[in-house]
Amino acid sequence: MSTHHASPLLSVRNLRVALQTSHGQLEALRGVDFEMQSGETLGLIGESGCGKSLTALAIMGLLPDHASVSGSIALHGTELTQMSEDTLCTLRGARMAMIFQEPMTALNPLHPIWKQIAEPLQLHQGMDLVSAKARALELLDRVQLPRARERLDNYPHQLSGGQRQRVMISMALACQPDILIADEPTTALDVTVQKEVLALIHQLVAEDGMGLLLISHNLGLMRDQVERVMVMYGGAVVESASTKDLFERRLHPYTQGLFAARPQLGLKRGTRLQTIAGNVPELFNWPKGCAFADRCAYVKDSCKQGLPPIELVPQIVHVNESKDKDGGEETDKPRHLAEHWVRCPEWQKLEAAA
Amino acid sequence: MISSPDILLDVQHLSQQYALPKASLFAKAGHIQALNDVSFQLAAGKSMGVVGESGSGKSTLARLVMALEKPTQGKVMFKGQDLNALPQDALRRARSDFQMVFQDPYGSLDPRQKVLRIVSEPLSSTLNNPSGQALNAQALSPQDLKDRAAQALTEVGLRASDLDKYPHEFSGGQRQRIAIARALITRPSLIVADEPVSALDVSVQAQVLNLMMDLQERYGLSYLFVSHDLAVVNLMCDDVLVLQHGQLVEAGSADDIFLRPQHPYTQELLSANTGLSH
Repeated sequence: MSTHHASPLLSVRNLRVALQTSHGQLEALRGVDFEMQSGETLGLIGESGCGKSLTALAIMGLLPDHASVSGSIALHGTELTQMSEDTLCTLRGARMAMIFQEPMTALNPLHPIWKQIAEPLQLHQGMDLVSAKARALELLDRVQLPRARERLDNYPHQLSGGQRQRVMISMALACQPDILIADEPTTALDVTVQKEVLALIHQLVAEDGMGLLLISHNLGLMRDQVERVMVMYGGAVVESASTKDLFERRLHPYTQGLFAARPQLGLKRGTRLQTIAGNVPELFNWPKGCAFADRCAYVKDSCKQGLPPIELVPQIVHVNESKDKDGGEETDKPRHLAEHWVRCPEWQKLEAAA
Repeated sequence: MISSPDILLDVQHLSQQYALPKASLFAKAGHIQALNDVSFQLAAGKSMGVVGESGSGKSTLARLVMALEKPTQGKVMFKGQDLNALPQDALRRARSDFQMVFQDPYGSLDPRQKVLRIVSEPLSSTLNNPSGQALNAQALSPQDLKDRAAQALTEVGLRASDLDKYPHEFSGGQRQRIAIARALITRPSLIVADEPVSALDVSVQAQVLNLMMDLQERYGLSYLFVSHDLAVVNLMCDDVLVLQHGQLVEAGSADDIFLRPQHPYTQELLSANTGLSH
């Protein structure tokens, strides 16, 4: 999968999703833009209701009926938003795959696991049942399911949560997709199992040269798993940076609040955690401008008028890293990977304060 | 058995077995040892953390301490009383002194009841408080109940006007505040909290943890705090129990457990957590 395409693996442009609710038509995604190349790992972080999962479902073409999409989602240059359901079905599972949060409900309880892994193989690659079963065993071995041969005929309820998530991963990888979307893949698992499953996803994505879009509310997890992180709040991406830059600089007031609120080992007993004033607004109550405006200490009038524009943050050039100052680009990473931008007019004040 | 006066909870050799369904008609039914010979003491005003993976017996321990089930062996001594030896109505009265907060604020509040009924129920169902003072529900007028419920809501940062609302009108963090208000209303000495912030977002989790610490300072509460998140336990608890497969593998002060873990399982938990803490 190392072939270079002229167009990016995934290009999302001004993606807007409106939901029909009892409060009328509400915009739940307010213009999401990003691009991924093959082999890149991108993290999407934010709290419930910020639009992370909606972004994933929009890409997969799995939005509910009462949702309407505008903007563009292109996979290798092929526009997905206007595609018929039949055509989408040939891509889903074959070129793009998704791992869901709940391994308990995402598997069909009525079928043995090998049949569920074989289904995409039969559907997309026209395999017969016998060879699909053989391939299912290979896949289960690859996701390191212990005693895979004996477990082929097991039903989901006979497996533990971590084992089920391994089965989910083997299903997603069955047809060697170009992009894997993992929506909170380990949230339902024990911490020690979480680490194993994440390491597995990391290794498999690297081996196959897939693009990985990892969705999580867990900051610590992002640090080890992805190269670039986007922070979402209120249906918009508020900050996007390489993981290193984001963890070091955190320029959006919401990003700062999120980092400050998490309890960390080593804090003294009884230390009060920093909180973000106010509550996450309900979808029907979103402010017109920046969704964070009502909770922000740096709010300006313009923040309430409309979504603040993207502001590019200049890179800090470390002397020892820039071998050739005249060359301009001192890193070998693609430019957009290193790009750091933030949707806040006051970020310079925040950085100065920090 | 030494029982100094400030020992609130004294758990002695607690074991719990659950029967498994028979694998076949003639097979002997197996059983699962959910908890095996666990002992610890919790002093008044202190907090005990319970950590371990799912299936380690954390929630079984919480349910046994709450006297929601009878242990196969061992005793739960609360303020010197063996909870499982108490007759039904005495246990019911004693319950006002130990309350529980559950993990899922969406599943633990009855969606058909108004907040007033949810929060005041422990008062009206425990009839008398353990000191024998008549706190009879019939004696508490509806207005008294409402006042107490309003007071409990204010203590957790909600408004008295919220009493007439239903749970679905609140966010996850607010629901967990309602659950805490319900636990607080009887003025308990002990609150057993089973993963009280696991279902909440990071910023909401911080608010609820701060609230729980404030309430502990204000009322000298004790917490039995069950969590898989070691950073949260480190913040909230004086002492920690580490459970694995129903066994107590390590116990000690939070500092000892987190800075100088002795048992390999504790070390493994700790290294898994440092990579993943929120």
